[in-house]
Amino acid sequence: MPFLLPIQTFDEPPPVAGVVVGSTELTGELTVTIGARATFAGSTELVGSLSVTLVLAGEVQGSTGLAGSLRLNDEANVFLEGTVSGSTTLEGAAPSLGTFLAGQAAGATELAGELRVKRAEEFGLTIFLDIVGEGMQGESVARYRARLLADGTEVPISSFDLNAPEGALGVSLSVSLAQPDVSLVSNASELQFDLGVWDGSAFEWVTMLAGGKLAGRELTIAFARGGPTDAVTLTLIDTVADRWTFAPEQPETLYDPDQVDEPAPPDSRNLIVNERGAGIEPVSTPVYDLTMREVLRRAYVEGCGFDNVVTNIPDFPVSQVTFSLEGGFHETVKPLLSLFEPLYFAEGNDLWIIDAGAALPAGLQPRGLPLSAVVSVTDTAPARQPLSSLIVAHRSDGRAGGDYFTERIDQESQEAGTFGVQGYTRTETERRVREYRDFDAPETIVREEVASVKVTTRDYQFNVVGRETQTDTFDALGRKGSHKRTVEALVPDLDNDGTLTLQTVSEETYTLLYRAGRSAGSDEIATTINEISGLILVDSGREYLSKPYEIPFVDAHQSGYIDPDGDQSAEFGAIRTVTEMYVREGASSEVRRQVVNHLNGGSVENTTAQTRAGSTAVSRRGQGVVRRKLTLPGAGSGRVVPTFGTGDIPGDMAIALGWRRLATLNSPPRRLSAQLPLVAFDIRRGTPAMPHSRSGVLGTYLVTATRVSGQNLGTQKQLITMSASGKELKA
Amino acid sequence: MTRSITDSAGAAITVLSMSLAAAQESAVLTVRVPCLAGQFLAADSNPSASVLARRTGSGDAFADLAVAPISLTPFDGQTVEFDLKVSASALTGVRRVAIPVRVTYST
Repeated sequence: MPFLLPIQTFDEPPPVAGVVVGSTELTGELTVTIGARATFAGSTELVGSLSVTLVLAGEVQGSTGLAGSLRLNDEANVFLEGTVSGSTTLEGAAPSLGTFLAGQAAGATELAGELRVKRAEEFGLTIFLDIVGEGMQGESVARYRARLLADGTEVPISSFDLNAPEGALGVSLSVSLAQPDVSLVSNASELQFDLGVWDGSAFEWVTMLAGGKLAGRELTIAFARGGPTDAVTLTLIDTVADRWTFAPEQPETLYDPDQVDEPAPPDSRNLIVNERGAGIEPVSTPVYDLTMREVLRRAYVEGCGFDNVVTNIPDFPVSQVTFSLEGGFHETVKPLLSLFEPLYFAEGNDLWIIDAGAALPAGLQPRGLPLSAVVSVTDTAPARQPLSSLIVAHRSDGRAGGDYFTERIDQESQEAGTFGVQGYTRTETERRVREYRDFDAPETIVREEVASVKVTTRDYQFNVVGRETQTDTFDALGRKGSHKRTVEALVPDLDNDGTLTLQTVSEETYTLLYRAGRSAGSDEIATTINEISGLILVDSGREYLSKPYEIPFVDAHQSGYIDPDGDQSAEFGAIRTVTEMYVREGASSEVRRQVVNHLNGGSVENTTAQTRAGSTAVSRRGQGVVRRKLTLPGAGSGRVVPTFGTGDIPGDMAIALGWRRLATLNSPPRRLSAQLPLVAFDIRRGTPAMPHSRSGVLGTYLVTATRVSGQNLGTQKQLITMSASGKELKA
Repeated sequence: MTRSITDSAGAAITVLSMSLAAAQESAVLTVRVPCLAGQFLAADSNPSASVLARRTGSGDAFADLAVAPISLTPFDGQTVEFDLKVSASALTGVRRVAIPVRVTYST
């Protein structure tokens, strides 16, 4: 959006930088940079016109960049932030420059930029409350009635089984019709199942399943005891259960531009086409500061049609998710949360995703299940896997900095051939790794960098026959800037009768140059330069182009050209420079490669242009991300230590999950199964419950599944029972 | 770091699941709220139940957070403890309600 902001003229040189006159107040920081020489930071007031006073150390020219975080006061929960850049034209500028002087100018400024609205921080909790009316609270209530309504008309039933299993979104219902007539319920029927409780004067109905559809039926025709015993059993599902299968109309990728590049579109071979042959183009949507909660909202609220997603899983950043036609919304999101082993269920039109391993808030009293309220209780402790430690593989953000670093040496070796016999080689690799830490948490490595790699090869007599050393350097943005690689090899020493000695035969300096990428925070490799110097054999006894012939020493050694008795010498110098330039071409890159040979007078040896698939983009943040493995120590040692992978979850959360995992393996949560004599309407999936043993409280459990069954409905043998199962909540 | 309401032990609370009989109040729960100027402790209005709160130790009457959100401006920069309880309305049958409690700039 263009802005036209006239610059105000001052009569006198303004004394302070950053003073702006006006009455509209913007809260935040405004940084003004002109000609890349002056920077101001501070609060700024604006009204109508923008007045900027600048302290300049040179001529005013070039572009102006503004960056700020602005809050809109009139919209309490909205923050405005963004970056604005544009060019400034100064008319009648009089930057009379001394040691320093504020420039005054009248002119027009045009700014074009992109601002985004961001919600202010808001947090809280959700209270999920089951309120049981007066007529349903008694523990001796025993008079129930069940009814099935098909399009509002009651269909008599003789039995039912209402199941809310663990892992399923909704509930399923199986009923046997009192009248074995399959035509009473059709596929199109809107089904509802209610359970009524007699309050002394009438039934109070509680809807247990609404908006159900016929999933299947079974018709049995039989004769027994001299008459027909036909039966019709129907299976119903609620429409909520169907939402796990929802998918977008076209593949959609959400990505955080600050973390990853925009996904490249698929090529024509991988593009899904419709029945008319037209391609179904994927959609890529940039979402700044993309988090797990936002992914849940887009998947389950916008995608699956729920009103809300209620979860106790802590939020964390997500770099990219893709909702595909094949996987749909749920299968895409599920892996993000799998480490928490959450419990999914729907209540009303809200989706609940509950981390069953999270402890209850201190002071919250779970629903009691005294012995008087149960028929039986079974408490099962699964098999333990005693472990003393666990390796947590997690992600660290390499941009996180670190106050200081220490170094560690990683070593490994490989052997080839038979030990002690000629031909045997042993290759030793040594890496020097810098571990960056903060002063306030020195036990945590916030990032690490490989400072150098040294590869040494020894022969069967343990003589060093080769050594390669590479040292990487990184710039301030965390990008690899260059590396220097030195190669030492066993080659003839011309000053010592051609005796094989370890000499530096080549030095390679590899430099990477970047340009701004297509998305914010990303860069692309623009050019790489590989300069190779090394040991050169100069043969004065053989002239080439009126000069002594030159050849890389290693090549001369391998081809048998070296003659220690000849008029040959060795010197160190430039051998070859390889330059590669990457030109963006849609989803591919064209590589223009040039090799300059510096020997024998120098020549351009080869110039080619090739198209390679993929981009050369690198993410500053992504490049800074490293994988870390941290051992959670326990008492004792000497056991195998398994690895617990935590994917892209941030380090602190991963470590907390690791501790929980270690505790769970050593003491798995117990499982509960309880049979209730009555229907407890306030027990559902997600209810914290506290059953009792004969000597006290068994523990606190989270209900994960419930089941209500009724037999011989409408007869004197009618029996309606409820059961619940759960998982122990750890303190 | 994302801020959150915590329990008295410092553990973040995002969900409170409880059962109540109609026309009764829950036990009082103590929560800790990180406060900033301009923010309020508020709750959504619900005909079946109300969320009540007061500053722990203040001796104030419990306020219905849906009707009278508590201003957190006086406690800018502090983490303050509040007593929280839920009051269920008189009703028949069974109601399942979800009531968001928020630290928000809106009232």
